[in-house]
Amino acid sequence: MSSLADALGPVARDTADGGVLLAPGDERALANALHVLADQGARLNRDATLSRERLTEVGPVEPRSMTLEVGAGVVLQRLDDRLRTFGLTVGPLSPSAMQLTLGDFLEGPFAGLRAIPGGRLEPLCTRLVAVLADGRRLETSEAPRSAAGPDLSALVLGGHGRLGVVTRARVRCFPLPEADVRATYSLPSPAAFVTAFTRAVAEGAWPWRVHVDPRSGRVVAEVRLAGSAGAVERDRDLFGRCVDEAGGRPSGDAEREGPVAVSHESTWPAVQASLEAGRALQLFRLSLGTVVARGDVDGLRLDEPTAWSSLGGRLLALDPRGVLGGAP
Amino acid sequence: MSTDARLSGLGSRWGAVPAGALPPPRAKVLAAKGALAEAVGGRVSFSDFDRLSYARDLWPLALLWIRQGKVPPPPDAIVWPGTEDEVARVVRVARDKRLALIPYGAGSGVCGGAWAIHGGVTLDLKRFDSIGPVDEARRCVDVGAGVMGETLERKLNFSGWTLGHFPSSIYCSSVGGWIAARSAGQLSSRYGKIEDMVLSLRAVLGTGEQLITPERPFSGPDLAPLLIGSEGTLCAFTGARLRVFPLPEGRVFHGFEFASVEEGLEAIRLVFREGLRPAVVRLYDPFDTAFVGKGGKARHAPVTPPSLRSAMERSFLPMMLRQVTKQTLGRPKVMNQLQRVFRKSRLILMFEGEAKRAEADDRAATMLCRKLGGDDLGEAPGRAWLARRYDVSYRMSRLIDAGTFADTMEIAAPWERVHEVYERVHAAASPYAFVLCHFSHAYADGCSLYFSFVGSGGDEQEIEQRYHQLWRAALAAAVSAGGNVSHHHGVGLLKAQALQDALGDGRHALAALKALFDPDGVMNPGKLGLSS
Repeated sequence: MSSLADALGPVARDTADGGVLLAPGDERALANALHVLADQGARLNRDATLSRERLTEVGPVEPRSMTLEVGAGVVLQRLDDRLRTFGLTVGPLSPSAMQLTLGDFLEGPFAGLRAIPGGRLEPLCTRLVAVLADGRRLETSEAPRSAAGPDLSALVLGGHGRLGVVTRARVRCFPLPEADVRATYSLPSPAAFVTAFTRAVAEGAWPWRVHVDPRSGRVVAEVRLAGSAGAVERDRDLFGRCVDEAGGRPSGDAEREGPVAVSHESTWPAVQASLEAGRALQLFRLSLGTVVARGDVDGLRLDEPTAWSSLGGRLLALDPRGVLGGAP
Repeated sequence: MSTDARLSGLGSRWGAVPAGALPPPRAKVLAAKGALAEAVGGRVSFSDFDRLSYARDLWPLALLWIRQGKVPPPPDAIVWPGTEDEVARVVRVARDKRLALIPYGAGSGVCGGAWAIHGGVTLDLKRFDSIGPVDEARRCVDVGAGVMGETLERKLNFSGWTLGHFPSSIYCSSVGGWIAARSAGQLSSRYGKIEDMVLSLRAVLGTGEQLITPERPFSGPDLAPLLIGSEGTLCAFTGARLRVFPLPEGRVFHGFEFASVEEGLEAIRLVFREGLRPAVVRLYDPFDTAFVGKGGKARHAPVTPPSLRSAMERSFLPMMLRQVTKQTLGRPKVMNQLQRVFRKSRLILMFEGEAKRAEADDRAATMLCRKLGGDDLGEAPGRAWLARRYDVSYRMSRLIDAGTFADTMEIAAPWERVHEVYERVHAAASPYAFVLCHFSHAYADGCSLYFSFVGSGGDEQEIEQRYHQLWRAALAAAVSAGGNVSHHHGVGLLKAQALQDALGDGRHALAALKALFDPDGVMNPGKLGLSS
C-alpha cells in the first residue's frame, strides 16, 4: 500500500495505475481525509482521486415538495429509474448529464434544469451538504428561496469540487409526464426560430428537447413536450402561436435523431449562427439566457472542466492549503 | 434638478437639528475629512441634518425609538460618490483609516441593515442613477444601483417593457438595495426574485477592487450569488444588468374561498405542481380573509400619506386609537384566540403575459381550485388587491401613531413544513402581538409565509420589550419548524443572531468570504452577524 493510502486509512485504496482512490462514506470521513491530505502536503484531484461510491444513500420521497435526500454518489439515471416508481422524474437532462453522479452534476458546469420563466436557472437541488476545503461542513437551508445572506451553495455549485465537495443534496423532482408528444414546425430562418422559441420560453413553455435542422433555406424544429395532458396542450398551443407570429407553420416531418456530439452551454446568438451555417442541433434545458446544445456550436464544453473565470479563481483563496487541488 | 442640487439644498430648507441631539462625529472620521472629500470630489457631509437623515432605515424599531425621542446611532459622515473609481477611493480611505463604511440605497430596509452601529461613513449610492436602453434582442437593461424602483419601472413601461419586480417598497427602494437584500416583488412567482433577474453585477469589493460578474456561460463558481444578499458586508453594488420582459398583453384575475388554510395551501401546491406560474399568488389566513383581505371592490378611498394628513388625523385620532389599542392589542393572546373563530381562507391568483396563454393557465388553475372545493369569487378580489397593493405601508404608520408596534416577518419553507411553520410561529408570537399571515411567493417545492404582527403594552418600555421578545420567539419557532429566517426582507441587525444560529458550521464559510472580500472588516460591520 502506498504511504498516502496508508495514511488515509480505510477510506482509501491504491489503484491499478498507481494512484490513490479516496472513497469516504460520510462527511466526517471526508473531512478527516482532507486533514490527512493537508498534513501530507498532498492534494485531492492531484495526488488522490475522489470516489463517491459510498455516498449512495437515497432517502424517502417527500411527495408534497417533490424532493428527496440523495447521496452525491448516486448516478442520475439510476435515481430517475427509482423515482419513476413514485411517479416522479429528475426531469429532462441531456443524455450525457444523466450518466453523471449527483455530485458531479452539481459541481459541474450545468447550472440547473428549469428556469424561472425567463430568469435564472434553478439548481437541481433545494439544499446541499458539502465538506469545504477546511474540513468544515456546509449545510444550506431547504427553503425554496431565501434572503438570509448570500447563497453559500454557490461555493460548491459549478466549483468542480475545488472549493467544497458535495456529499448529499435534496433533489427537486418533477411529476412523471402523463403525456409526451412531439410537435414539428417549419420556420423561414434561424432568426425566426430563435425569435419564436425564446418568446415561448419567456412565456413559460418548457420543452424537454428540441431537434432543429436547417434545410433548403428553412429551419425545421421538432419539439418534445412532456408533462400533464393540460400542460402539454398549453405549451403546444403557445409554440404554435409563437411560430405563427415568426412566420412559421406546423410541419409534418417525422422525428429524427439528434447529432451525437459533445454538449455545450450556448447562447441563442451562437445557436442562430450554427443554424445559419447549416448545422443541425439538439437543444436541452432551454432558458432565455442559454441552452444546452449538442452539435457543432460555440459555447462552454460541458463534458470536461475548462479554465475558470478570473473572478471564480479569486475564490480559490478559500482553500489556502490547496487541499482540493486548485483550479482545474 | 440634479441629484447634487437636490441634496445640497435640503439642510437649509428643513432647518437645523437641535444642539446635542446627536453625538459629535468621531475624531478619526473627522480626521479623514480631507481624504474623503478628495475621494468623492467634495461630496461629503458631516452636518447633523444629514447624519440624522441617514441614521436609520425603515426598521420598525427605529419608529419605536423615535416615538420615545431616541435617535438610532448616526453615521459620522456621508459621502456621495458618482463613479466606481470614487467608490473604490472611499473604500481605500476607509481601509487606511479603519472606518466603517455603510453602503446606502434608499433606506427602505426593515431589518436595520443600514444602521451605522459603529458610526463611520455612509456611502450613498443614489448618484448611480443611469438607466440604459433596453437591449430588445437579449431582453436586458443596464441599470445603476441608485435607481429607484418606480423610476425604473416607469421608464421601462414607456418603451413597452417591465422588470416584473414590484416590492411593496417600490416607491422608496433602489435597485442596489434590492440586490443587497435579495428582494422579492409581488409578482415573483412568474418573474422570480431579484437574484433570478440579475444577469451580471457591478460592484466594488471591500478590498477596493472593481468587478463585473460574468454572464453565462462561464466555467467555475458563480460569484454573483455570493455577493447578492450580502447587505453591504462584502461590497457596494454600483449597477446591474437585469432581465426585462415585454409588458404583458393579457392579465386574468381569479379569487377563491376555501374552507380552511390547509385546503388553500393544497390548491397552491397543486397549481405549481401542474407547472402553472401565476404572477400573483396570495392566500390569506382566516382573520385576514374575514376582514383585511376582504375588499371585493376595486374602487376605494385613497390612503393619505402621513405628511398630507390633517391635524385631526395627526393628533386626535391617534390619541383615541392609543386608548383602544392599549386595551385590545395589549392582550394579544385573547385577541389571537378570538380570531380562531374564523375558518375560511381566501386565495387570489393572477396570470399575465401572452393573452391566450394567461387565459389558458387561469382555466387550468380554476379547474384545480374548484376540484378542491374552492368557491369561485370571480375576478373582483384580485382587482381589488391590485388597486390597493401598496397601501399597507401607509397604514403601518397609522398603527405606529396609535401607540403600537407593527412589523412583518417573511420566511419560507418547503410544502411539507409550511402549515407547521404557520401554526408554530402563530403560537410563539401570540403572547406578544396580534398575528396575521398570508402565503405568497410560491414555488413548486414550497412557499413564503408573510406574518404581520401588531402589539402594544402599558408603556413604551414594555412595548419595546415585547417587540424583542416577539422576534426572538417567532424566529426560533420558524427555524425549529423547518422554515428559514428570511425570504425577501434580508437579515440586517434584526435577524443577525438567528442567521448565525441557522447557518451552523456554514457561518465559517460566510466569515471566510468576509475575510476574502473585506479583509479589514470595514464593510457594514455587524450586519448578518459578521463581526467588525
